[in-house]
Amino acid sequence: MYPVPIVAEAMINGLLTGAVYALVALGLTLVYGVLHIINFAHGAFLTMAMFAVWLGNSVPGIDPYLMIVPLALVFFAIGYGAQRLIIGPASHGDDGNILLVTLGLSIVIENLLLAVFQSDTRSISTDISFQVVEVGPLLLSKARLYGFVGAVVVTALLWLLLSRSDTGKAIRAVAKEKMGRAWLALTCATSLP
Amino acid sequence: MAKRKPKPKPKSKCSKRRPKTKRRNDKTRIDITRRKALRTGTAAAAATLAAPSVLWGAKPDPVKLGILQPVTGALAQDGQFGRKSAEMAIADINVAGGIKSMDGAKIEMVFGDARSNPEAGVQEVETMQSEDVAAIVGGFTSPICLAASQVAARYDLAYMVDVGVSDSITSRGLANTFRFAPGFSICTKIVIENLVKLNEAAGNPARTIALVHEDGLFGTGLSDLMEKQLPEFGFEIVERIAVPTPSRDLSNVALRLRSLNPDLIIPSTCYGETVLLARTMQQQRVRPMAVYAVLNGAASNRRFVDEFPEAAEGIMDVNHWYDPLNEKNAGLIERSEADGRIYAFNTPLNYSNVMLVADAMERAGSADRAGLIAASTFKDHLMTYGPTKFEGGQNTGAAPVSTQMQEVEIKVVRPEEFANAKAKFPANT
Repeated sequence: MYPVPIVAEAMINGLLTGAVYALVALGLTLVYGVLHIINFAHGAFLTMAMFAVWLGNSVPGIDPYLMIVPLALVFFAIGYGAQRLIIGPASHGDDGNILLVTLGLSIVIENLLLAVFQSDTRSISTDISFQVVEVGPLLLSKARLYGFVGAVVVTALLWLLLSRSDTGKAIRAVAKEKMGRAWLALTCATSLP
Repeated sequence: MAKRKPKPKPKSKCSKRRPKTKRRNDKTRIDITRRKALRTGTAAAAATLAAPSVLWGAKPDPVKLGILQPVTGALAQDGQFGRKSAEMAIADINVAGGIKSMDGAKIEMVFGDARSNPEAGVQEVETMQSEDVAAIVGGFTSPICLAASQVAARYDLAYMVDVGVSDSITSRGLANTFRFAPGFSICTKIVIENLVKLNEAAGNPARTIALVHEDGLFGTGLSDLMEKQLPEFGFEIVERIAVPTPSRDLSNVALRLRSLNPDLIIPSTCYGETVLLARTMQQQRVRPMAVYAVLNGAASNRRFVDEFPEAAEGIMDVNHWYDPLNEKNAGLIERSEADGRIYAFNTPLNYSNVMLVADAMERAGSADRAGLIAASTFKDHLMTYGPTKFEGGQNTGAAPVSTQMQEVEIKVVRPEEFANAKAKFPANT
């Protein structure tokens, strides 16, 4: 068999990669849990975001890590716009329709990206792309490590938001009891002067 | 009862005559001018016919040459190289006076896009046949070349394969199919020969080998051959790793290589995977004695050595290449790079192919193409080949060369007659 350090490194590589996938899945679960929207376009949005990072890196040469916060705001706006202007009106509140709308959205976005960027593989090369951190006999890719740390931090922040803050509690309430929220809104509206 | 149409009044003889008289007058007028025209015209024609053809200004019909390349789809980049180089060759031939033995007939390109699949290639051959091309050059990849040349054989249409290495292309006994470049068997013979010589010259330091190949027919076939033949020369194959195209992450492959620590790594993968492997190996500090690539997509590619010089340094390849000692290549390199294209082997190879076909047409005017190509001893090419001699459609003078990336340049290291540098073996000590 293979020596222990090799197996250990392979396992750690797997965990580091998995953390990034978990972060992607987190976004999808949040959207479904709260809004009951199965967002088929999640992957397409992710691809759009990655192309945005690539564009920012290849044309003006901005470091990908520096683009995280501004792009997060931009895509927050895009997500809000998609819900408000496309998914909401098109689906008339029916879960089945929402599925179809997001599916259609994913097809449109993917093919638009294909038309603009063609099907060549693009990659981003920064100084740390292939640098490693030495942990004893193990060599861990820096880029992967940063991605892992980022995923853990974002997850922790999200958990804090959902469990401790008022907005978080409200989101969880909506997710648990849709009808109750509607009643509450009605009561508030009627009781206001 | 429905009203019937009134019977047409018969035209009176008088009315018939009147228009006729008028016409007769016009006719006479026309007759006079026509006669004059005929007279002067015949005189002029007679004068022209009597004059030599050069003064006549009549141009001979252009000779149509079919160029088949996959300019869209997965193989688009290579297809573009092939098309542009064929265009350059045709332009150069026409500027130099065309096919002189056919009254300076110019060559006209009939281009077909093979769309990176054999079915489209076959369609284009049919179109070219209907446009009456004299011969077809191209195909690029073995599956397209196989299908297209088979269809061309039905019409006795000469087909020059540009790159496709598969042995079956020239072993089907088709009288119309030719390949100027080396095929699989010539390539593998040179691969093993050169490796053994390099190792011997360094005192036989390398013994263990890991094969990393693309998981399609080409890579698997090549590795099967290596696995069978290399042990006969004292090498030990410690591992065979198949890599899919495309691959996004080769860190586990690099890990395996690190744990096995072979003396040599032989990758026969496509461009993207080779670059990723080289960079991952650099990251994981996997340093074999040498990376000895075979017909690799990146190991003798300018783009790789320009973008990642540290990862590329020292990598060797056995591949098609142009003769660095032939000055004509320098001119073509300039023209390609001015157009924004790197000079890969496809360019001098397709250029040479078109020149060869033109040379065949030059030697006898307009006769049997296939026969002429088969008898060709064309010397004016740009490649690292021995004397041109076609046997069963394959140019036996063709051979690949060993290259090595040294100091951000791709140098030819073997054979000596085309070498412009000495091999550094082992590349990493």
